[in-house]
Amino acid sequence: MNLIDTLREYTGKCINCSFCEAVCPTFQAFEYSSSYGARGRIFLAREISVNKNIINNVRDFFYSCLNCNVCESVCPAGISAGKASLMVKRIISSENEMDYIVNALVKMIMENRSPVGKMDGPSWYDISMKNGSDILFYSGGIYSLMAHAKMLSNIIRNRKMKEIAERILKKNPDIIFLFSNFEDKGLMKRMDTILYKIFYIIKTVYKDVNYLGYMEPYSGALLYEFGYYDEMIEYGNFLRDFFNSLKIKKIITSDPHTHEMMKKIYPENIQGFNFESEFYLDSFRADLKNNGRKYAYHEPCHFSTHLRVDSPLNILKSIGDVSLPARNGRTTYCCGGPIEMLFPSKSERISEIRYGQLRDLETDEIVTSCPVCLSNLEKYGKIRDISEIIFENIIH
Amino acid sequence: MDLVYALREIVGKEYVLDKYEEILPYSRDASIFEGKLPRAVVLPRTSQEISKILRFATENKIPVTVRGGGSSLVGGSVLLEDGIIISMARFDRILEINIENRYVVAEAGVKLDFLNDNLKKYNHFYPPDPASSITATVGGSINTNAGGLRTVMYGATKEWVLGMEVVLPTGEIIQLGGKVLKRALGYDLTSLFIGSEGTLGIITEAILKIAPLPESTGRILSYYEDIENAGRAVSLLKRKGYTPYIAEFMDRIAMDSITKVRGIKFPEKARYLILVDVASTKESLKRMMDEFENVIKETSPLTIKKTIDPVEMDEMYQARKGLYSSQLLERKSPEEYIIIGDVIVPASELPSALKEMDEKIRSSGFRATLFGHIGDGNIHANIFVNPKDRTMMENVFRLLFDLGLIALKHGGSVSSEHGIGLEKKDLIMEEMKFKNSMKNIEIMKNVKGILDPADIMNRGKLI
Repeated sequence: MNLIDTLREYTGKCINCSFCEAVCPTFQAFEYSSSYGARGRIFLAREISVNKNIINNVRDFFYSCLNCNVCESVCPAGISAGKASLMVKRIISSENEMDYIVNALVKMIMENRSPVGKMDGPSWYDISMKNGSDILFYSGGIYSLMAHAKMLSNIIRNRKMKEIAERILKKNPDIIFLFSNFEDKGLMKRMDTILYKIFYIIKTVYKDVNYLGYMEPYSGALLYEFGYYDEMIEYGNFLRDFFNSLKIKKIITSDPHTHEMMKKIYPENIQGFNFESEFYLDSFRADLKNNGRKYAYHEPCHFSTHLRVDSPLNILKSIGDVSLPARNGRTTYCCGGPIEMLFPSKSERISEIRYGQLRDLETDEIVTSCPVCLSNLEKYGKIRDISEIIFENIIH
Repeated sequence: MDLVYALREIVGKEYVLDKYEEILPYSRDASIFEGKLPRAVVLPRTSQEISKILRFATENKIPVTVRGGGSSLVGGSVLLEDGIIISMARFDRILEINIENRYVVAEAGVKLDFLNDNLKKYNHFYPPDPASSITATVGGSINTNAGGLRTVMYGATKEWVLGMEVVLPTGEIIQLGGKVLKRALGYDLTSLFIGSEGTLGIITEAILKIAPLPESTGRILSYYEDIENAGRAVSLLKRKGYTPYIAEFMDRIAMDSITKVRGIKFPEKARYLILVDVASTKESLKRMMDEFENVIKETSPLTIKKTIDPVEMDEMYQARKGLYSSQLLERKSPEEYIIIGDVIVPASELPSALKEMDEKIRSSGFRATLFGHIGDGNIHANIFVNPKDRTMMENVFRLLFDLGLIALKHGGSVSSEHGIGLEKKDLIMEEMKFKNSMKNIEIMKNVKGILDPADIMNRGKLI
């Protein structure tokens, strides 16, 4: 069945009950215009499957989808606007003139294995950490990339600046390489420290773990999220061969986006991509002291709706008293991060709403387990990474 | 003056949608009816903006349909003529929660589940609980006098509305009712707008009664082979002085669709399920559940299962709420749709009415499933149809008509909680004729003429 037929059959199950629209963060952030919500996306996707002519006018509706998949959690017929949006993005990316920023990022990933042209290793990285072990700690470079992404979104949030950036990138997409030299210094330092604590925690489980630091390639998550399917397949094949060349058997990930690629997306789409994959807290067993503090926990949507990873929440519960906002579990509320680079102001609106929900719980600290969530929610107040809390409470 | 320009002058450019790809999703709600594409969709934020929009629409005779959650099952929120849709989505604030005086003031676009999430912090709730409460709004549920699962104990929406602000089609903003439980100020205009289906004006905010949450609840699931016995369970409970917190009914097709979507298993031999929730104090819950169980046993169920596990109870509760959409998986092709029947009979008539309806559906040859809020006598018949098959559609509306007549014969009504909309315009007439009350239609038309002289509000619906 071709993509259009698949899209028609998939969206044909919908009867417009609007349960999905009620939980869609972008519906609210985009001022309740239905086309920017889950129901509208499914409606338009179905229309595209019978009338492809409208595809040139619908790009923003689908690229604004967070793919948080909460819509699927509440849909009695099991439909996901996120999945429908990914299908439409595949059609758009294969046939239409794309957003120039997206194009430039994709080009960089394909040519340089990094969205900004090069990967940064953490300051504490030592080449001896690349030790030949078949157990690989793989961060996908996402921690340092957050610091570059923040600079990029700071620039394009200004409409004029975005237009200028698009004009430049249209002529020369390689110019996005410049962003490898621009970063939010504070965020870079924070991410550097978090990554150190994650590595420390991993070492409590796996003494002999291989880590490539600045030599590790990007995970390719953006290719998947932007709907560049062919490129994602090519990139996944590259990653498979790369890991095989290092004789890797097991991949330990540290964030939801990279973990989803390793655990689900590549194994489902790439032949021979069958590495054992686990999130770094899944096997963590060290003793922790219960400090009696109150924590609010923000569940990353890729963990609660895509993968059902609950080890961070369970570990946090063993350290303190954990509260969850009304929107939790399979109906969690996204941090807004996935659309930060394309719709910065709307992304911020979603982050602000979510931070408010967490703040209203009136706990001592707010915690998450995703660098994207952390970077976005932090704009509105203090938020800690789960690794920081574990590091402080581990009994040595 | 150009319509879109005029609307943008009132609410701002960003809040008037007129591009094809923006307005397309507004051509449908959750019913089988496809509406006309609106000339524009407007998203106002204040009553004053709505006042200006309606005054402009009345002066220029522009048809207006109001949209809350857009989840109408009878075509209530689609536009039939060349006009505009006013979305109430931006009226999304809870303005006041007053526990001492037991009321909440909420804007019309507030979702019912969102309202209850906020009230839960105070150990209170707003009882009306339509199955679509995740997306149903305060304004929409008042306009349809929504009922739902808890109606058996708490009544429908009309029991819980103390007052409201309404913008009339001629632009006046009026306040109805108030924050007190009693008032004697002549005709009850608050009630006039409950169930008015957007034909008289636009409700912008409402004062709603709230209640403390029950201290504890438990569930009894009883399974039957025979529909009459299933129907007897609730009427017998009521006869013996018991009021369930929730009392739901479903047939085997409904159970199977829940199994497919949620993975919840039901006994193989069971053809019908009665789900009864018991609300009580913590100390007396077990005793009450035992007493309920003893009564239910008198109706010869195949098996009975009891639970007080909140996770298990919530799973089944959500499954019941999503039952309509779950049944989509039973469709034989994507072209198939489901038409939902919605009638009501007094509880004592349930056993015989259910049997007659079951036989009527079987003899019609349609694939259909029976379920409903049996506690208040509300029965839904979900019928699988192909809307493109004209003969089939004529036959299905004939079947719905016949089911309505069965309800009337048993002292009930053709419309319980979904409203009239487009689907039941013939049936409302039939009920009025049956009750020799055609004067009611004339009165309704006269009221509509007074409040909406240009006849712009939700034209073609209700009457």
